This record gives sequence, structure tokens and C-alpha cells, in this order.
Amino acid sequence: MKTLIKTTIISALALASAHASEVGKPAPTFTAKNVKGDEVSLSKFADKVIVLEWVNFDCPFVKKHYSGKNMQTLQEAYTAKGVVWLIVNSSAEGKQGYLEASKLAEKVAAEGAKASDVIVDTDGAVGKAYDAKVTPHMMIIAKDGTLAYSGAIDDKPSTNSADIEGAEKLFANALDAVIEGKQVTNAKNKPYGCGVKY
Amino acid sequence: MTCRFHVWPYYTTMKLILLLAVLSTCATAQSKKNASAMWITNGAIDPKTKVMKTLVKMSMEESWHTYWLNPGDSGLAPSIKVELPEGWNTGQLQFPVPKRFKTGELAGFGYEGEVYFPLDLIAPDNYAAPPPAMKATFSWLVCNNDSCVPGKEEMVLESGEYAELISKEYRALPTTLNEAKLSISKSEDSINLFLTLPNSSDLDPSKFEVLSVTPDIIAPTAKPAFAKTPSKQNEWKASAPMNEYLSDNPTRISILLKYVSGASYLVSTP
Repeated sequence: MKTLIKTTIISALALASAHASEVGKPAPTFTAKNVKGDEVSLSKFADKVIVLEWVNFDCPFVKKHYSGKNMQTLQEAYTAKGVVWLIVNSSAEGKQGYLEASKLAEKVAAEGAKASDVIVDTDGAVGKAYDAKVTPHMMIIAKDGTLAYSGAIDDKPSTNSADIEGAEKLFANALDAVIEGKQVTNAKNKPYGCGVKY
Repeated sequence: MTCRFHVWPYYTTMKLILLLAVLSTCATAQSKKNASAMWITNGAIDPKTKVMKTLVKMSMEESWHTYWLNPGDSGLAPSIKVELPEGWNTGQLQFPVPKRFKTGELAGFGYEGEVYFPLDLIAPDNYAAPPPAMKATFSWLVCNNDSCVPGKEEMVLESGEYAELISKEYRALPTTLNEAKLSISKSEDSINLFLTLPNSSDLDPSKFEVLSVTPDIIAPTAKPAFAKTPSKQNEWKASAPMNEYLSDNPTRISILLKYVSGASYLVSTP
């Protein structure tokens, strides 16, 4: 327990000293625990394209993209291309979407998620460093460490999975551009969803 | 609400009764809806316009809110899908004047407690009989500080003695100020609104609370206030920080003006 508290404090301090999250600027670094209790450091993924996906499995907007298998399909397709995909759960204990690490791991597995890792951010340190506002809030970090995208998964702010087909794929288009080293259009847009339950 | 029970192998009668009582309370709490809706009319059809006025009444439990057309930082406005009988049409669901609230750090606009959404139904030209049975599905998102939950109600239009209530709720809707002129410009990180009222107007724009009906132009936390432009007669200017997601120069906006008298007005750019 002491180790856990120490880790959390170090993590929080490191984040506190980082600059504010801003598209086009270096992404805040962080070290946080995954669902297995192992430390995950952003610096470990240098020279990789990284996706941060904020999740709350009880949020109807998140359910839309998981029940429709949209999120899992994206995770599978892009991790196959070498993208590091980190699911982040910033729900505080007692708030909607909070799950202790082992339960979160079970939930992620039950949903058939194909992410690279799952970050337990119960104190909200990672979420606040990135100014994550809603679930799902999608962010992309380019190979050079800059925050290349912060915004919505698509342009249809609804809870209906039938709306996924036909929506403009804002996030996937941005990720394709980042992978190809192209300029991201609409790199910052309004994400839709439930407010992150810090 | 989370309910956890520790069950021992032997119960006294009293313990069993208590346990059953707690179980019953928990089951009630977990199945309780945090919002509900009903759809009402008095059945009157205007002989000239053929409009039959209806109201969707939405009731929310304490601490929950739903959203306006411009929900603010997050959220979603309610919507309705009406199963229309042959020849009937429907107007847009209308949204009454909202209030501001915060959900965590996110600023929003919407409603708490009870709210009525007016909805016009338009009868066929030759229609004279009482309204036919009508169904609609009303969908919403309600949130509080801890959760966001979607909901929907399959409603049947109920006809009754609602004339006074319908009249009151329709009267409370914002009035469109057709005679006012509104324009918008952006300078650096600010949005400027220019409002011109006709000479005959006795409204004092400095007493307006200004809310943007159009999302993502003005920062949801901003409270722009109109002040007289010294050089131009009857022109008033208000400035506000732009919304962080605004990328282009906006050319069109609709604003809601809440007046000190309790009246409210809608003004839009051409």
C-alpha cells in the first residue's frame, strides 16, 4: 500500500510539473498503473503513435461504440498497424464507471477490447493533465511526442449505435493522417459524451 | 446505489424481517427511474392554422438535469419521434428558457425538476373530428455529478383539461424579435455581438442575460452583457470569450435574451 501511495504521489507530482495539454505541443508525460498493477510510462512508447481513449463503460456514449463494436474494430485495426492504444479510466471511486483494477480488466476483456493496455486513473491525474472532458474523448500522440489530435470519435453526438455508420470518422481520419505523417485537419474538435467523472 | 449483504447461517426472525425490508428498499431504489415523461393536449385544433398544441412534460428526480438545444460543454438535448397518422404533420420540439448549471467542471444549459416542451401537431386541411390516437417516443439524456443515463418513454397523447397549462407554457417560450438586427464578428479570442433595436423598442439590452442557442461559438461559462455603442444610435455591443472548439470565423448565431421582467427573446443573424 505504501508503494502504491508513493507511486501515485510521484505520478501526480510529475504530471503537475508538466505543461498544460495543447494540440500541437508536446504531450504531457505520465507514469501510471495499469489494471495488472504494473507501471506504464509514456516514455516507454517513444517513436510510436499512441492513442488515448477515455472510457466509462456505464456511459451511454461509450456503450454506443462498444455495443456496436466500433471501438473494438478500431483498436484491432490500428494496433495491428503498430499503434499503441491505451484505454484510460479516470472515474473516481463512487462515481459512474469506476471499477477497481481487477474488475476493470474483466470488463475490458468481456467487451472484447483490443487495446494495448488499460490505465487505472482513479485519482484523475492523467485525465486532468490531458484535460480529458468526456467519455469517449479520443487523443492521438504523434511519433515525435506532440499531441496531434484531441476530440470526438465521430461527428454524430448520439447514444444510438445505428448512427455510427454514415458518421464522419473524425478520429480515424486523424489517426490515418498521423500514421502517414500528414497534417491533421480538424485536430481539435469538441468531443461528445458523458463528462469524465473525476 | 450499491447494496451489499453479509448473510450469516442462522437468522433470528427479526434479522430475517430486517433483511427482507432492506432488500425491498434496495430493489425499489435500483429500479427507480430518474426521469419520466408524458404527452398531453386539450385536443383543440385552431380552425385557421390547423395547429393542435401539445406539451411533453418531463419530470426529473432531484439532482438530475437534462439539456437545452445548446447543451454546453457536454450532454445532449431530448428528442421526439412521433408516429403520425395519415395527413398529420409535426412542428419542431420547442425548448423553454434554460438555466445554467455545472456538472463537475463542465458548464451546461438545461432543465431540472419539471419541464414542458411544446410541440405543434398540424392536422390535415379537412380535419374536424377529435384528434386520433397518437404515439411518440421521447428520448433524453439526464446527468448528475456522478452519472449520465439515457432514457426514453413510449408516450400516448393524452387529451384532457390542459388548456390553461398549454397556454401558459406556450406563452413562456421566447419571442422572436424579428425587428431586431444581430451581427457577429471574431477578434482574436473574442466573439463580438452587435444588436440593433428599432427606435420604438423600450427594451434595455444592458438588462439582458445572453445565452447562445448556437453551440460552440461562445464559451459556455461566458456571460456577455450588452453595452451601448457610443457612436451608433440604438446599437449595442457584447463581447465574450470564444468557445475553445471554434475554428472558423462565425457568420451566423442565434441568441436567447432573458430580460429582467422574466420575458425572453430570440434574435438571429440574417
